[in-house]
Amino acid sequence: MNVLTTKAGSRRTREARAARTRRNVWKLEPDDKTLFWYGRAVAAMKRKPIADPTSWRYQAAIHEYVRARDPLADTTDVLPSRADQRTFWTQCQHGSWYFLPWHRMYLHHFETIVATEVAKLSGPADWALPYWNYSVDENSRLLPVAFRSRGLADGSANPLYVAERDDRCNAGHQFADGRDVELGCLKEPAFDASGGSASFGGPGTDFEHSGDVVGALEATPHGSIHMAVGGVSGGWMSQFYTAALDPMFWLHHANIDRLWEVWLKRDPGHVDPKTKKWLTSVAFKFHDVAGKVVTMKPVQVVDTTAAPLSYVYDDISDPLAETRRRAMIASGGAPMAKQRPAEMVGATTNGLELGAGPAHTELLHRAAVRMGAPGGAQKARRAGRRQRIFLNVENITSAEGAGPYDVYLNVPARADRHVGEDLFVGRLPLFGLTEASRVGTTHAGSGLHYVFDVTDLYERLAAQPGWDPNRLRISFVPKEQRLTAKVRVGRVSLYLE
Amino acid sequence: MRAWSIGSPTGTQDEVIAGLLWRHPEWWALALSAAAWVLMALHGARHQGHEHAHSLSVSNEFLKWMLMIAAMMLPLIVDSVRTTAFRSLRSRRHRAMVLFLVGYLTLWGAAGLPVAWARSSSWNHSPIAVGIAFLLASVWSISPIHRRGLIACHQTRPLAPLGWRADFHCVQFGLIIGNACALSCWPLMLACTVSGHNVVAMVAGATIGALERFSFRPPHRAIAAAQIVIGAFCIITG
Repeated sequence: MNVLTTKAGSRRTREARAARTRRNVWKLEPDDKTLFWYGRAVAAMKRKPIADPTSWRYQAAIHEYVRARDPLADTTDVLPSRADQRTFWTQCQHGSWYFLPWHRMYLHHFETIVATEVAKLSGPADWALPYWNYSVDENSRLLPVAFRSRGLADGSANPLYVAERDDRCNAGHQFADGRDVELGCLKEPAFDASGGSASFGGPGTDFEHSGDVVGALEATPHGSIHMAVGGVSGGWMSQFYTAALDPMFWLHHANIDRLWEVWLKRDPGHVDPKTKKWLTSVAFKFHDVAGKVVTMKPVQVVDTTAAPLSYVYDDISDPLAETRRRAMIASGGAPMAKQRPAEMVGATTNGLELGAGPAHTELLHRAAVRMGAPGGAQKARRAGRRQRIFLNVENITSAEGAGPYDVYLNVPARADRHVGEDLFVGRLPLFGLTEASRVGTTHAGSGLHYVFDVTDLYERLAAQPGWDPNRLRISFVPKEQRLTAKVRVGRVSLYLE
Repeated sequence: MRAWSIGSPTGTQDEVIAGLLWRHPEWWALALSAAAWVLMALHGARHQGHEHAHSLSVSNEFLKWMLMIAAMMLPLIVDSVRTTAFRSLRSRRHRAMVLFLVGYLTLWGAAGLPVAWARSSSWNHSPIAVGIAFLLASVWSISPIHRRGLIACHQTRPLAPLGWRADFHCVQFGLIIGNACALSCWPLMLACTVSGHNVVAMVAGATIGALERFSFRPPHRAIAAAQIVIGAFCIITG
């Protein structure tokens, strides 16, 4: 068969001809110069004025810009026109199925701008943005060495260094834990979901700068790493309006982009949305390396090997291959139920305030009526599908930023903090909390909304003695024992798919 | 294999219908809107050519206001109606939607009372009044307040699952969305009223509302200009 005419063949050809290969920063050879050139290009971009679309600050402002909170604001700044600021700045998509394609476009334009700077500085023509794969082991979670020190060997300032990070980052200590980097999101069967169900890529929306329902990948590891690097004191990576000022932002998002490819490849049932609404109905505007306005739609970025993207990753193998095989055996090979609107079967009556210590609430639910506790789930399995159960934490708001919280189910009263690791549901990273809580011309102020698949945990609990089929106790424990701002949870609910 | 949760009707056709109704519990709200459009169209046909000059009693003007709101606004808030339904227990879905609409229409009713009172007098039944009303709507549509209202229409609220709190929260949510909608659309609704509920003006107004609510980047300036054109049309044909 002609390799150029088969779909697989043409993709293989494109992969082989890709202009760039993005590599794991932790696997770069000791004499590799990728980060050296990155630093040189970053320094050159930082010298450009903010109104220049290829400048460091302009690129960061595309994510979000708040003049009053710009740490680099200077009285001599000449900002772009208001019309240009409205069109090109504060455009990042969150809580939306556009989260992944928009950030892919953002990365692409940034990478070409950096690569052009590298070429101007006599660096390699095929420079590619590396990615930070922090999910391999403890060491991979550390901040890469090149970003940690304030100065370089020649005494000049390190352009990749940022002081506004968690204290432990630049000191080379552990600042993220396993829950910040876990890859359970890769198990989500559907890219998008509506009401109550979890999704890999986020819910279907219109243009959404700070939507409320957060997709699984966007939550963890994306949001978790933002908060881990930024720290609890409001470091740059922990806020929308400063996140992209940290050179680590781009390597982090390259990894998030890579995980999209990993998800697609690990299961033939994992597919991008096919609807016109996702593919072509929305166009996003950027500037190319020449400063010319470019419009892009998601349909143009679904294949990284095709123009205009033309890049590949050195590794998109499935990090969960072994656990996937074990899960298939445990479920008897039953596929996950096809995506359909989930049904709410219970919720808390009142909201809940979260603070510096653990907080608990109770959810009354009628899941027993629908599922007959374990019996219902088994009946569904006999019918050839597995019924899924989701815990939704809704309308989370705060006037100030807050640190992450861990969620548990049915932790016994008076249990100490470390008991109940097997009752862990998931982490609320709370990245973007202040933006989502604010009412304005781009935010509805509904707060954040996370969805967790609790099917396995729920079935395990239901099989234990003393299980009350009508009550669930939900606990929120701050990730770190540091002061946190007041956070309000509007509601916790249980959904059945 | 059953596609729906345990207890659904048997039979493929029943399952399809049940599935559609389950997926779209908001269907009757859209049917209400359609019925309101029919009534408004009949009213328009009866008073063709004298829309802005026709004067009714306060109660009739108020009724026309509410019919206009039902016709034009209910399709625009279908997302909020669905959110209310899917964030409620299945047994309460329709009750929740009704209560949401009670709150929503109450807010619009309060906004409509002064309009109905003013319309019962003849001073605003003139081409000049029509022109001023559409000019106001046009200027409002490019104001920051209007944009805040548009965004606020997308907000969600936690709803208690059962009991009086659940009912209260649904009504409260309706009031909140009604407030956001009125903030963004009250001048346009006023203009359509002053035009004598001109059906062409209402259809154009509904199109503007849909563009602003559902499109990616609403063309605010074009929308503002369109409202001037609609006003001119009403004056010429009225």
